[in-house]
Amino acid sequence: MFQYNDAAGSGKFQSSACAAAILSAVAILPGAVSAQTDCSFFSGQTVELVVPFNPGGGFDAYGRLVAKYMGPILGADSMIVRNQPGAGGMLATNQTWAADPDGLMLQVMSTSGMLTAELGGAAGVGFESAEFSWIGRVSGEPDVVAVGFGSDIASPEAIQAISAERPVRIGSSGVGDIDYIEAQILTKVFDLDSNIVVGFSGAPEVYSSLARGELDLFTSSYSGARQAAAAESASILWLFDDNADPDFPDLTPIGEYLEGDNLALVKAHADLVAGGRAIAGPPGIPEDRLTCLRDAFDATVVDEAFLAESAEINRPVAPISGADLQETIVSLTGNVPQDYADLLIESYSN
Amino acid sequence: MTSDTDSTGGRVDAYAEWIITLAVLGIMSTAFLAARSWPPDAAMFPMVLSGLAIGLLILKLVFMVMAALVPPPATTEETPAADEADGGGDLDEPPPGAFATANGRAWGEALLCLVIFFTVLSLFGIVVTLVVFGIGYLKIVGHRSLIFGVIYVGVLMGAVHLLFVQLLSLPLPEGILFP
Amino acid sequence: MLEAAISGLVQIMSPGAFGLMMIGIIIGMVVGILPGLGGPVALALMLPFTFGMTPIETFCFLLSTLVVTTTAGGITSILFGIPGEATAAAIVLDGHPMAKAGEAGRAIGAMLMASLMGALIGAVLIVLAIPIIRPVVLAFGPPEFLMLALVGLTFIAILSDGSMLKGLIMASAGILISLVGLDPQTSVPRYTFGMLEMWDGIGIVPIVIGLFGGPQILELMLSKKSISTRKAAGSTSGILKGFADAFIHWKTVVQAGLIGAGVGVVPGVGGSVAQFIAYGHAKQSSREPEKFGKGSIEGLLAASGNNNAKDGGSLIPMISFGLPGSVSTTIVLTAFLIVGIDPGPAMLTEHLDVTFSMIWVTIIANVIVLLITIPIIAPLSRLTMVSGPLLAPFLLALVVLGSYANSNSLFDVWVMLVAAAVGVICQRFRWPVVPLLLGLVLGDICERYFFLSQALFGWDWVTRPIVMGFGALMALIFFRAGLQSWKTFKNKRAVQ
Repeated sequence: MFQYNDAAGSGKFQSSACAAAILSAVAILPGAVSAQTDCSFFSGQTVELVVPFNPGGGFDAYGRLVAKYMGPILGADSMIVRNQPGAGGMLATNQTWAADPDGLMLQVMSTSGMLTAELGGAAGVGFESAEFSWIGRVSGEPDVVAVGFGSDIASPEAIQAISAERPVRIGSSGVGDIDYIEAQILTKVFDLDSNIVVGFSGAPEVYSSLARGELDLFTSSYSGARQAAAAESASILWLFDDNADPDFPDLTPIGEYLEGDNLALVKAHADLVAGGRAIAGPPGIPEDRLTCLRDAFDATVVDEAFLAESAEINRPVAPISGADLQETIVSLTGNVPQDYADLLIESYSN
Repeated sequence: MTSDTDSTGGRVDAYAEWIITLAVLGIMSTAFLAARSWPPDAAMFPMVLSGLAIGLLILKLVFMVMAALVPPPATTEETPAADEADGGGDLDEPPPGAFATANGRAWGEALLCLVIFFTVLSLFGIVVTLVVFGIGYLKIVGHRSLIFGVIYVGVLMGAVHLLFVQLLSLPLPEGILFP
Repeated sequence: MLEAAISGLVQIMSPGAFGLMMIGIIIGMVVGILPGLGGPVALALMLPFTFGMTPIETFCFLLSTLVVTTTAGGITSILFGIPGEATAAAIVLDGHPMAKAGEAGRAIGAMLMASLMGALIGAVLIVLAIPIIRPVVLAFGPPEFLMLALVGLTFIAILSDGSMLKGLIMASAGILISLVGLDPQTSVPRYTFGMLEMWDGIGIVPIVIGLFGGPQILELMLSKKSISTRKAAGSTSGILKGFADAFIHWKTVVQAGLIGAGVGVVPGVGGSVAQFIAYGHAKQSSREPEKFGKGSIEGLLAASGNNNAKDGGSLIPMISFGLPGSVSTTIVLTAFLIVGIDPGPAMLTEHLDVTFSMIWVTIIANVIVLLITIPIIAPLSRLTMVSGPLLAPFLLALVVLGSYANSNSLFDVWVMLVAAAVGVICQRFRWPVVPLLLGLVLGDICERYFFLSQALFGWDWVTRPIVMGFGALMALIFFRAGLQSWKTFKNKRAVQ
């Protein structure tokens, strides 16, 4: 299953530090867009932004937010959102891969889900992530490890103590989902005897199971976990990352307990999760149009009205420009640690 | 089946019962066989289910064969064999309306209309379909004037546009050849 | 608590909130009438409009839309026999036969009044449950979900229309269809024929629209007659008679409402199973069970009374745990998060007034929808007098657009078409479709929770008290069904 954990996000996700860092990296300012390249192609055109999930979730919210502001900046007649759910997002991604690269059809990408599926050789993958024309990342947030509300587990040793008595129960939505891969990584790096319980309908259901004390651990997006913590279903234990994150100063990264190959494994995965929610078009969009799209995206994510609305609807943005994202994805897919690649392949081989 | 249904209708029903039962048996058997190649956890539920269904269908076939061999007692009206075999078929159900009474011509016409509708839909999308099919159907089948058809389609399209495009910004079905 | 109740009411009575509630009601009416668009789709598309609203205004807008789409969907179900969503299909079973018999007005009146009564029951149940919500929700785990789904499947015995064997076969077919897609344990694609479109399973909404709506449209095209050939389809006296029916059979409505609200609480399973339990229970306790499915007023009242009550019930796990009880409440939950309110214990203490506002909205929206529908019942009912060829293009557009909206793909239109063919064959040759629907909505749920129960508890889950209670309930339902068919059998013997 190819699916980024699309828990409805919210919360005090502090992106300001991150956004500021990106801001300095973004050289192009609004208004300067058309001065550099001739973007008259887009005027009067309708740009379609495909969201590979149903309306109502996080991907949809970000897609609609970007479309609303990016269309006018691009100079397009309109930028419309089209929901195309199916196969956990893979249906739309495959279609976008094969679409006409005229720059008029873009998609919100579940970057981490795409990458894990591709690297793991999942059935149904008909694309190569590095070849897409990446326009930019909209948002990204780290994953976290959570335990049941009021659980005694507070250290790797506590988990290993459970493991010595019985298999540690880790929840997951399904084989091949990000949370399944993370459960496998936890099993490996902490050397656990684990029972990965799959078949939950989604993160909220796993959290309610955690609240009933049926499970020991679960990993999800930070916003999903924060919501469960507010509902007193779960407590956030660690950041699923090799290093501390300045946006989450209170959270200990699991990297602190690890070294060597195990640390590298967590790092490889965390880098991939950082791909977050991004926008891309089919491979081979003509250079000038791609530049227009990337410039318009960069201008959109610093637009004041855009940021105000993003804050209002509790959908924080953490942008990365298209060129940087492309480079990151090319390097991620090119240099995967063997351990991690093996683990992904194992996750997807039924 | 009521007693006033003509005997051909009754025969069609009896044949249909065999065909449907055998068709579902075919589907369930295929489903059972397909499940054998899956990992045990994935295959368990489909195999148990299709296995059970195959059992039920064979039981039904046995009842049907028995009913065909043993003529029904003279006192009962001509009830379809299968219903009786199930022990509790509804004898006083009204006839199934137009499906049983419509003649071949009506069936041919209705099905042809549907084939045209869905062919045009898949090729040219809903907008063209509603215009072409709507006006044509109202004129030829509904015996309404062209003007009536144009107004009807116009109002319908206007409502669809307002609701789907303006209010909900939902995409409308597009065809393969023409959006 | 009384203070919070009053404060909640005062807050939604502010001009802004009340105005948004009215807008939500009108949008809900229009969108809900279109099959397949009511409920989750409409709510999700309304989300962007909540931008800039206060929390109270957001609930007034979204919840009234939700409540009203449910009710408005009942109108399409009654008039044209096309259900808007799988969770409301039971309204078609008796509502449409009534419309065919020239009683569209009475049916809509009864449906509206029963919906209102159901909403009230749901509201009362939430209020009573507030002190014990969290322990109650926590008492239900995967084994209990599984058993509840199985209780729902038991109703095949009652809803097979006389032929139990055919009913069981149809239910198996429904379960088989529900298994299409990636399996929950190993993510192997099952019965997908190599099509990615089927990996997430086949959409239930297109199937339901085709299965029930298809035969109705074809029948109109074949007969070229109107839906009802009798006059006086929408007379005022008919509407009043419908209202009166809801009070005359108040026991049926109250029981259906209690079942809806009580079962609706169970997240994921409740919404799907509630209508079958309520409808099946009504049939089992009716003095005229043979009329069910042929225009029984009791059947219609049970289906309608249950429908809005379950929406109330499904709010409970959402409010207390952030665990959505249905697809629609998932969207409402998203709205919660947008306006910055976290579901959880605080909703039952600190923000109790917000919870009460939500409860009030479900009641008031139902009252208003009743009032504004009264004047349009008569003209709507007259649609059943319009000739078949005139209605056909309109209804074809409805079912195509409704199924297309499931995933914005023509694939769903073809699913609807195949389902329609199955529906026609079933209706013509008397194979019961309700067990198929039961299997379809409950099949994959049973599988998922069976494996989850096993993974979490081994076979120990069988001995959990609530599981055993449900087991006893299933035995009771079987026993009563057996007794009833024995009686019918004996009566038939006596007549012969």
